[in-house]
Amino acid sequence: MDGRLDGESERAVSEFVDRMGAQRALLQVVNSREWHEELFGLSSQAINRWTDSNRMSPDSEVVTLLRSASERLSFLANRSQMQVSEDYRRVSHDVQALTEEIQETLEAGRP
Amino acid sequence: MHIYVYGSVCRGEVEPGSDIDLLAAVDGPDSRFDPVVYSVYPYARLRELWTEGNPFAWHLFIESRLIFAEDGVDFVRELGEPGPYMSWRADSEKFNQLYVAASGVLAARRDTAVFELATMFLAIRNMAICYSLMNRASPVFSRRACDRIGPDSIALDARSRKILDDARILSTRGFGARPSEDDVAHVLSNLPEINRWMGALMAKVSVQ
Repeated sequence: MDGRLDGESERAVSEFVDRMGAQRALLQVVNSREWHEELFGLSSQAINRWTDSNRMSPDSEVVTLLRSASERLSFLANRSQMQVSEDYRRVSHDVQALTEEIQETLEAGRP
Repeated sequence: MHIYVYGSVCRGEVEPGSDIDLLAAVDGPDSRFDPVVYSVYPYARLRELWTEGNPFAWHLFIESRLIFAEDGVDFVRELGEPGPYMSWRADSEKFNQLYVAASGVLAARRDTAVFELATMFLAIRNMAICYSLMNRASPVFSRRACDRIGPDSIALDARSRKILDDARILSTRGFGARPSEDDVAHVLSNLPEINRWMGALMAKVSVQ
């Protein structure tokens, strides 16, 4: 067996690891603040739990931004191989922008 | 449109916090399906997965049950057996990288501890599932796949397994209690065994 991954496989590995890294970066931004309970993940159920345990409004700015990031990450996980790098770059950029927006919102004290 | 159930409920592995995995096979974007409830896949994407011999295609082929078919035809059965699973090298590399990153972060900080433990669980489970597919003897898709690959099963203590399993449920389903600092320390103390298991699995395959 060849000892190296082919180009397509390398891209898939890198994108998968990057996607998990994007989730981690977002969780670190949120959990850098003091909460009654930290955010455990970016699934819809995990966001629901975080919203409830911290007595936040489901319509608050941060919760809305988190749900947008969650949807985009799901899209990346579930997209067709036919929709290659262009979609990935665009949605990755969206997630990064949402992470920054969440950080600004939290720093401004308007969760 | 076709609707299938798959996953733990098809194996009778029902526990508190268990969810029911539903697949919707559709022509294209379909607003009837809430993506929180359904995994929504276009038919074209499913055909691609079948051609690739993707683990998810094998999972559906072996374990899914048809709930509803608009055309009366079982789409998954019609697709037949997926192509041979050929991506062990890429997949094992991917899950190893994932595990190394998560365990490294967990050792250094605690603000994403549940996510890191959940990611380690995912990496271990998926590594075992892909290994079982690569062996082609008897594929396993269980949450406990790492215990069900015969002599290559992981030798990890029960407490570590439970901590990892619970963290995965908490991170994905928002169900359960947060692990204690003692729990995290316990898993960290058992990293050498997980490292050894992953290394052995990857090394064994590389000579096949």
